Amino acid sequence: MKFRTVHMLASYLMVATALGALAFGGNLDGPVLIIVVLAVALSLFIPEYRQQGAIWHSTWTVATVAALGLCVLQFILRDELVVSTVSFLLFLLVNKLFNRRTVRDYLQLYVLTFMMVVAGSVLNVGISYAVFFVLYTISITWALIMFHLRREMEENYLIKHSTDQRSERVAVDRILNSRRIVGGWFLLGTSVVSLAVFFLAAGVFLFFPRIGTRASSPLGRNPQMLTGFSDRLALGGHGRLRDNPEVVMRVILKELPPGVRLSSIHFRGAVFDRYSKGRWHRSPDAPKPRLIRRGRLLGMSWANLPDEARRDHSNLLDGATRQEVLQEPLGTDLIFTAGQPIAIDLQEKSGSARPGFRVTAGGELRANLAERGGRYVLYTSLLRPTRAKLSAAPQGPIPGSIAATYLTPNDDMPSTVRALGERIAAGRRNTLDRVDAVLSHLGQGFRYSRTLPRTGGRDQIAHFLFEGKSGHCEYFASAMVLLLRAGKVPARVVTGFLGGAWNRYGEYMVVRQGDAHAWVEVWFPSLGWVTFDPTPPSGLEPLPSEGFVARLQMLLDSLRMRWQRWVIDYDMHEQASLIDGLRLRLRRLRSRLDGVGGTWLLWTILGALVGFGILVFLGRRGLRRKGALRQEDSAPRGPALRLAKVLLRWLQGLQLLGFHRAPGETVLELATRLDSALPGLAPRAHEVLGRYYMLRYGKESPSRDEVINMESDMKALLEAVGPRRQELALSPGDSAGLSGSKQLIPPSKAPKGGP
Amino acid sequence: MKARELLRITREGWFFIAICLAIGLAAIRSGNNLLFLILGMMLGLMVASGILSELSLRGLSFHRVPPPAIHASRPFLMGISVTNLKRRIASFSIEVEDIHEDRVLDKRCYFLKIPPGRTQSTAYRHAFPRRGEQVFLGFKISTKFPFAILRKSRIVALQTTVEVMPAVYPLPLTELPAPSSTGERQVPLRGRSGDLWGLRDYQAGDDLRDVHWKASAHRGRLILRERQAEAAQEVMILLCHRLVSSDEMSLLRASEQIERGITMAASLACGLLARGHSVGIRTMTESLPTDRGPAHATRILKLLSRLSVTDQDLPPPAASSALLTLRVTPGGTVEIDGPQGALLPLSLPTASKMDDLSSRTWA
Repeated sequence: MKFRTVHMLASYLMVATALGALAFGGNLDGPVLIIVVLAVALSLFIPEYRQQGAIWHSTWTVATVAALGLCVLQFILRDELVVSTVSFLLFLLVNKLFNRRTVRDYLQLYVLTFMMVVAGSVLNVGISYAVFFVLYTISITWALIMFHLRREMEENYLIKHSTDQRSERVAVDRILNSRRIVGGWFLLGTSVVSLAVFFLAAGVFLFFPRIGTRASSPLGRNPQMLTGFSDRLALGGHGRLRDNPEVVMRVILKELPPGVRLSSIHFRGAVFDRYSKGRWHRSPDAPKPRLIRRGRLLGMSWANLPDEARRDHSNLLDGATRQEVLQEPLGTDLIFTAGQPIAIDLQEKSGSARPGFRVTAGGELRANLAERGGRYVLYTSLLRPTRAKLSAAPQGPIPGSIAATYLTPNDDMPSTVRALGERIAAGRRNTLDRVDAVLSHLGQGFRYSRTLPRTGGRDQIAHFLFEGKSGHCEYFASAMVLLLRAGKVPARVVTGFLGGAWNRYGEYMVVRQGDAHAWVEVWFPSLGWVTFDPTPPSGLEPLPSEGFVARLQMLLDSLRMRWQRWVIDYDMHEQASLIDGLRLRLRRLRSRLDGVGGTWLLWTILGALVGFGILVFLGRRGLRRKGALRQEDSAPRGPALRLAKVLLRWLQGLQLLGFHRAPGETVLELATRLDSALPGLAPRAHEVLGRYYMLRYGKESPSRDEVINMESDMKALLEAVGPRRQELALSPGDSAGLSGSKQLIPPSKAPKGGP
Repeated sequence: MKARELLRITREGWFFIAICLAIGLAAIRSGNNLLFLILGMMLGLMVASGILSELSLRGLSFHRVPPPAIHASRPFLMGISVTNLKRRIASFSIEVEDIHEDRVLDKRCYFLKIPPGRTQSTAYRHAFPRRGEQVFLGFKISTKFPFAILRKSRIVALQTTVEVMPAVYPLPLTELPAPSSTGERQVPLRGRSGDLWGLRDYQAGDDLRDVHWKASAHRGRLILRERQAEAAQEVMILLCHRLVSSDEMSLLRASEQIERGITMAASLACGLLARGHSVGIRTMTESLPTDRGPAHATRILKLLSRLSVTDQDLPPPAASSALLTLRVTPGGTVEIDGPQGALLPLSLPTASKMDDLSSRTWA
């Protein structure tokens, strides 16, 4: 692919990922986003470096001023500084994409995308940001590398020098259109580098010291509008709630008490005590549990219970189950507890600098998580008292505050309902018997229905009990509470969630809006509040958890949960626990090693690593040397080497006889010079040397016999020179010609060298 | 090769660091974890920049390819070739600067990409103002790859000595006296147009048109065909290079004058050889017999490039038996040696003119 095309595509990928990181937060206006996406796509077809006219520039200048004005107006009207600024940023992006005239424009484009990613960190805290962030890391690596190369090409270098004319710049277009600068391997290699960058970023993220707790932006997540958890509960107000799959919270339960099923866990939230004309209300003076502070724990106890009064609270968490809840922003400050709350961990907080945990009327738990959501750790009792225990529970006096709140305000109860309650309770002295009787009554002839009944002005509970005999959980719970109160049993309606889906990928419970439920809590004088659920099971079918789509949703949800827990809500507490965890693992490893002669094992491993390193080093060095030898193609090998040695020995023999080869003199020239000193030798020497060259540099490598023949010929030649040289040595007049010759080099200065 | 490393943050790099700091402060201040992630990415990019630039600079081999002849004050192209010895990784965006006598020359050679196992060559234009030996000590190699936030440099030692020959300027030699009728000898000397004289190895400065390609192919090196000259006039150039001065200023001036004389002698010799004369030279310390051809011009220029200015009381170069003897004095005046001592109307161009001429190719 052409360099220019790759650079443009990398830049556009960067723009797209930055746009995605920003847009998926859901805080920007849909029409604005659509316009921006279309404009970005359209700008792809605008050629680079196109010279535009004055009208074009004026239009864009006017448009920029107009866009700035609109963004200021948006800020004034809606008071959203970040959103207004980002809108203007998007306009500048489009402007720059349509006006890519120089390489500097690309740089400005990258700065804009970076600002968009920074803005995205405020506007989008969802898992989509993670996806786009990874893509952005890859694309920024590509784009910046290619930007650098392009700038070097265009602005600085690539000057062609020539001897006979002036230096000139190489045509940039030719290089930009080259397909040889970057290719698939280049992109793959740089992707690996960018992934390494990403992991390094993750390392910095995890270990960069955090100071204080996170204060997340209110723009980050939009709170869900959850019904049924406000100050009043209107019957028939939200019959279709069960279809809503939106996640409300994720609960990590490390272990469950025996006999407790996930589907039967009630996550209690709001408590209602006063009924009036189809609506439940919360009394501000409803009794609260006694609060006990034990270190980082805030315990709750109904102190007016005889058992509780005797209880030693030194070990607050006896029989408690730990649960970690990651709650989405729900628009309510209620927090939900699986079963009856025992204590809340005040230090295990995340998602807000000041969660402000508090216990309000009726024993509801609340915190400042309505807008931001967050994480909290609770200890609750998931075990419901057994029937035997409930049956045997003493029927002591009902405390005044309980009776005042949960028995007396029955003025608005329809007389027919009161009469029915009294009739059901008649003859039954035990609380459990009365409860069983009401449950038995509601279990006969009543059915679950999400179709809201038309009461024709009648009280909805009276209509449910005597005419309609069908309704959803709120009707069953309300009817049971009213019937029990008519029978002098304190009871109240509780709303929250029932059960949830188990996410096998993340190993936690997912509770959705569709799991919203209402049930009943009954006061047992010696045991406190006990949960009863009158809604028929047929109405409590769980949301689908099998099938490809469901599994995919689970997988995505587990990713979301991890993102939320380990990235968005990561703070100094998480960091400290991470480091503690690492320390613990290291200590365990050390203790394991100690158990198996760890010190020796450690030294053996270290020694093996060092040895392996040395082997790799030596091996690489050897390979490099081998490669270097291989590169020297001209160096003789095998028979050619033997042949070369034959010539070398011949030259050494001549040297011993006083014939030294001058620097730069070829062997043939030496043979010619021999002839001038010893006439008649040259033709024979030339013939032998000619054959030598044929064998040495011929197409085929010499055979063993040819090398041996050549060796004997050279030896014979040398033997022929020897006696003649001695003759010359005996004749001083002749030898003077040799010694006086410039070609005769003294042996001490004779150069060493091969053929 | 000995290597020394340098690391410098570029202007863009300082901006990058400033943005890093700003993001870091914002992250700490707001507690927004995604800003920590962005900060981590930026720090990661810096680390990646260091690793990639190191990969780019490693495994490179450098060679300097000087031109066959370098003349003072005349631009020449110094060839630089870079071989990527790595087996798989290409080197990108490599800048090479030559180091001349402990000073980095302000001439950068840029290599956009050097694929693995490949060699790429380029050249830079440079000019030395004076003749003599010049020593190149090594290279400064740098890269801003991949993000231009760091400039990583390395000094690679590679010594090369080049001989800068005197500047040569065209002279109006038509003013030279015509060869005397008695002196014109039809001697069998090497020339360009006569019969074959012999074969010899090619030397720097020889005309490529005289290469005997068949013999070159046979012997595996360039072989030159030498021809017999039709006729030749011998000219001997006598050059005085003795420095006589009393104070420092005049010493400098006298030295300049001698340099001018050497330039004149070089120009004269080359001009005469180009016209087909057989030219020899005698200085106060060295001499070359008369000969012809471009290779002889190289010999004369090399002699002149090595010639040192002397302040010893040496005898002036003796007159020769050549038919024409020209004496070049310090300052560049040329006179015919003899009883009359006629001054030739030859002069070197002025300094500004020299610059213009230095950009032309001498033929």
